[in-house]
Amino acid sequence: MNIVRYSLKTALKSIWQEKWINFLTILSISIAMSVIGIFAILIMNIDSAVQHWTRNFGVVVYLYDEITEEEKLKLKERFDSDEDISEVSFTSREDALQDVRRALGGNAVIMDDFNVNPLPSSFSLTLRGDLLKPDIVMEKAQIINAFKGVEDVQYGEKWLMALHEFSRALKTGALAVCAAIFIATTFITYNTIKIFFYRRKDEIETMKLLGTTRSYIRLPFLIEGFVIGFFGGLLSSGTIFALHSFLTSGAASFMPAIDSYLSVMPVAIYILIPAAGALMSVMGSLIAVGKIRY
Amino acid sequence: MIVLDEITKIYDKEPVFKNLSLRVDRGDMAFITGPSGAGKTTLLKLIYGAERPDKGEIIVGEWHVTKLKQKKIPLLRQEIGIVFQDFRLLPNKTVFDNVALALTAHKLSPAAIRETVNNVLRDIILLHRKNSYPLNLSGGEQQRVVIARAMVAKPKIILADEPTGNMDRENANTIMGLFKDINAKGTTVMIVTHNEELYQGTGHRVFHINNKIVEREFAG
Repeated sequence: MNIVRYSLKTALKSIWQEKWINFLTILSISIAMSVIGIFAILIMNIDSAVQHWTRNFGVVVYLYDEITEEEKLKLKERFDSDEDISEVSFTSREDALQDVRRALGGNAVIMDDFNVNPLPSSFSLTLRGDLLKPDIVMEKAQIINAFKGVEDVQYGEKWLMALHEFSRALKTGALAVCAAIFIATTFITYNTIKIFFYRRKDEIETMKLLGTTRSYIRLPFLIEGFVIGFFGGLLSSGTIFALHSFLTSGAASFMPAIDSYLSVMPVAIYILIPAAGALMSVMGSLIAVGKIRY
Repeated sequence: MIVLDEITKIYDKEPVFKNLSLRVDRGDMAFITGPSGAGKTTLLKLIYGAERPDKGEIIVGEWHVTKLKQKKIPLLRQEIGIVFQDFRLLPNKTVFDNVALALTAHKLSPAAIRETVNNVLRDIILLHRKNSYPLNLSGGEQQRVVIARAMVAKPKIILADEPTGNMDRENANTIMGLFKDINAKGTTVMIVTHNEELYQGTGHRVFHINNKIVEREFAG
């Protein structure tokens, strides 16, 4: 018989005959894959939240008091034409003093003790959201610091580092959990297919003696593993879709803050999860069937 | 053609065969006899590649069995029909499905499989039991199903291990009649038996195995 037809027929028959074990396996895989999906939402929204928190992140470029108007203009042109900088604003020494006075409120009189304005003029730069990584910002600051007329460049280095460390730790943790669940998925299918393989042991031994090739013996189990993993993943995709929809519409209606942090779930995730489930299950099946010796 | 040349097979440091040689030509029918434990079943296993000799060479048709790679063994077995002593019928499959199992790896359409299996079952007068399960058949019927399964793929060689077992004379004669028919169509048949009545007066070659070698070779 044609190997594909035979394998499909045998696999579907086994899926039907062992429907309860298969159903429970699909359910287990679906729960495992849903946890992966939840972590995927978490990872994606960590990025979204980090970008949200850093959207007003700025780099302040302090200028020498002796800077000429021409040098100032040249710097502004440079910043305006830099694609990494999304916003540029200039604060003169006088404006800076006003700002400080405003900030000090009733205590502003202490500024009167200064004979001259001690504050430098500065440029406030807003970097593009995707560049807000400590090493990139540091490199950018060093480049700007070397410009003529620039005395110092300051940015929230520690805050940015802490935020990125926090985000990286969360992502690493989430990835470790995902990897563990992937292995668990493989193991779940491995166990189920091993049971089926042992149940058909006599048949397989007889088939081997009758000259049936390895692929005829192995393929039905791989198809069964594929179907189990795929449907487990599909069920999980549905769960994740429902959960994401609830968070974006249901929960956001009474907790509006959620909406601004939640990123859009890419459609690819809904395809990737069943594909990953199928792949891990096929691997589990392959290990379960093992090396067929004659 | 089956050739065993100077075969030595050792189990647990104890040789089962020591430089055993025999030859069965294409289209012949031969019997292997000998006392229990002489290694008759092991001899068949060596021929269909379930066991490997420790020394010597085995040739089955165009196959050098001793040099055969694992993945080629199914191809050798597709040319051999085996009648197992313990039948190896699957109790959860019908007579039809048990016989069709031997055609799994043959590239035949479902319709062709149906026709081939039905024809073989008709030949051994078991077509009316094709939907029965093995446990509902008599010993003689079960043995006929095994023979049907061995011959359904039209093998070049049939190996039968004690095919008449504990059958009464009538059933044994029926089974032997089937083997004679198969052999008459050109298939090489090798039968392992301890029942002298099966080969006496047939004129076929008999190899008596004892003391790890072919002790006697004579016409039945």
